[in-house]
Amino acid sequence: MINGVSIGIIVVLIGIYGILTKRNLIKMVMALYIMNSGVILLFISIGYVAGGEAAIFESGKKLMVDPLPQAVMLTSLVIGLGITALALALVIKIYDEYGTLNASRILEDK
Amino acid sequence: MTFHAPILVIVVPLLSAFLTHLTKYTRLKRGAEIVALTSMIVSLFFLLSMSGPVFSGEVLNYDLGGWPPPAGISLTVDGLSFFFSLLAVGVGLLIIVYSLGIYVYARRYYSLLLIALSGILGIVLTRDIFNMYVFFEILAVASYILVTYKHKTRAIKASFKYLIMSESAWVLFLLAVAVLYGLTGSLNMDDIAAQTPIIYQTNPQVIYLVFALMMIAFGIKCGMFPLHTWIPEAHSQAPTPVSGLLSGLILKVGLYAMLRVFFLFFGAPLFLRGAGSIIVYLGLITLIVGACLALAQEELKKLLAFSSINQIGFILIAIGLGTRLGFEGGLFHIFNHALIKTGLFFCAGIIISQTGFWKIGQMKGVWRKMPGLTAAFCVLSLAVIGIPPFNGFFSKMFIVEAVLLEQNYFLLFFVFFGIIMTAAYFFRVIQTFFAQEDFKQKPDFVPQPVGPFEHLSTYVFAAFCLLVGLFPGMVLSLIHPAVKVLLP
Repeated sequence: MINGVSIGIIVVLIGIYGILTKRNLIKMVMALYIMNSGVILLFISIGYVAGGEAAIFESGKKLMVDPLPQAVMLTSLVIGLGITALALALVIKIYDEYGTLNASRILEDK
Repeated sequence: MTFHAPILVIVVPLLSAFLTHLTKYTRLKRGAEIVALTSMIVSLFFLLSMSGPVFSGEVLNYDLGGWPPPAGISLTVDGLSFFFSLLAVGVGLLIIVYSLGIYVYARRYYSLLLIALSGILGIVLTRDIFNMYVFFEILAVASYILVTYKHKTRAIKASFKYLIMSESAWVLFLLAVAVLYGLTGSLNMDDIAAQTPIIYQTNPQVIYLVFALMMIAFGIKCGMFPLHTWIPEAHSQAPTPVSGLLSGLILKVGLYAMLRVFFLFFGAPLFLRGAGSIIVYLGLITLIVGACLALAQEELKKLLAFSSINQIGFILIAIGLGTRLGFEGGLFHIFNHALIKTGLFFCAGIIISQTGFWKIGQMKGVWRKMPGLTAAFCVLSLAVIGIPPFNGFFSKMFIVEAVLLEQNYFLLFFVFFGIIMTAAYFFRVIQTFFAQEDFKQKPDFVPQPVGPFEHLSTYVFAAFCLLVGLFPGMVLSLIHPAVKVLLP
């Protein structure tokens, strides 16, 4: 069954795979953001109602999308953006010092 | 004013964090420091104004903006959150006092420290699970930047490792929150807690999934065994007051979340089915691994970091047992470990800044140069081992007694093993400090002057260890309302 929830879970799993296997620092940051996006997709899909409208209370609306996940995930998106920016700033500093983005080579150097 | 106290406890340090930057435009000489200290004292005042109702067993609820719980965010002050917030404000105040001497005119530093402390207070007081996630992220971002504050390369590397591990923890936590929201349609912890027993009966697998995801998230935060790898790097590379913050408070916040969320959501049914023993045995491995690795460390700060992992093992064992005595011992040890380990990191920071050495073997004869500080180090390390007149004795006694009542002698053996190993690695350090050789500094090393503030905060921690050891009833009267929340 293809819907938002199952695609969200697949995206999270891709992110986890990336974070566990990739040795490039930029790819690790990307994997982190992919994980975050997957969870956001999943969370929004939970509140989705097929054919629903925006949850503004007016007379005559029957089907409405749950507004809470959308409001909550807006916060989460902003947090994800901030974290990614900070992580990339750290990557720049590390690259300046070591001249490589390979995590194994950076870890060797004590 | 008392009515708004729960939110003021969080908001005062948070707003002061931004106020510290504005002191640039005033004529105050050390404006940032004054703002930081004042805000923590005001926060402590608001917290203490709620102590009366909390001690009488009342639960204070506060709805943000007047919106009732299912839609709005509510803050709750009960025994457990009062205990942890008092710990956070008290230790935070002493961390700021220690920083006064080293970070002069550092507006950015005090601002980040206040953001981190308000994040901790928010996590402890909130009753909305998504709000808890947001405060966790606030705390996390502030602490990543604080670790790199001195722009040392190794610190940046440590911070990146901390960031990757901690952020994957929070993504998993958010996934668990999403699953819970999908099941219950609410983000309020009390609403979710009311519905979990029903869900557990119809669909236990989904509860196991949520438990596993949250266990990984909180395990990374509190340094549980397979997920502890960020701790030694981040703790040893961070500036000294930040090491104190990481070890004293940030690890404890993970334990708070574990206590609050697990016992509120899953409660008795899951714990009877073996979830408690998962925590106990992971705690046991954490204890053994932390003790063995601490014994093998060359650097003083790394030894202290592994010692933190070791002590977290004791706390996890006590919490996982799920008995009244276990909770008392676990919470008491959380309190004691926050005081002791922050004090020990402060001692280590001063010794390193005076000698220029990082390795234990090079710190011979330190007591000739710094007798008072060596005495404080001895007091604090005897306290963490659990020698009677100090506070660590009582908490470890409670933990041993709780294990003994379970009649699990395998566990008891390893708890004693942990205590003996703690003694082994701390006596190794003390032995070096009292060595016969003359005190030496690193060649061409110019020690930074150590002011009265650093000494003051270190001695206050040592004095508290003795005081709590002599009068454990003081802390126990704080712990009893907290245990009442967990086991009604």
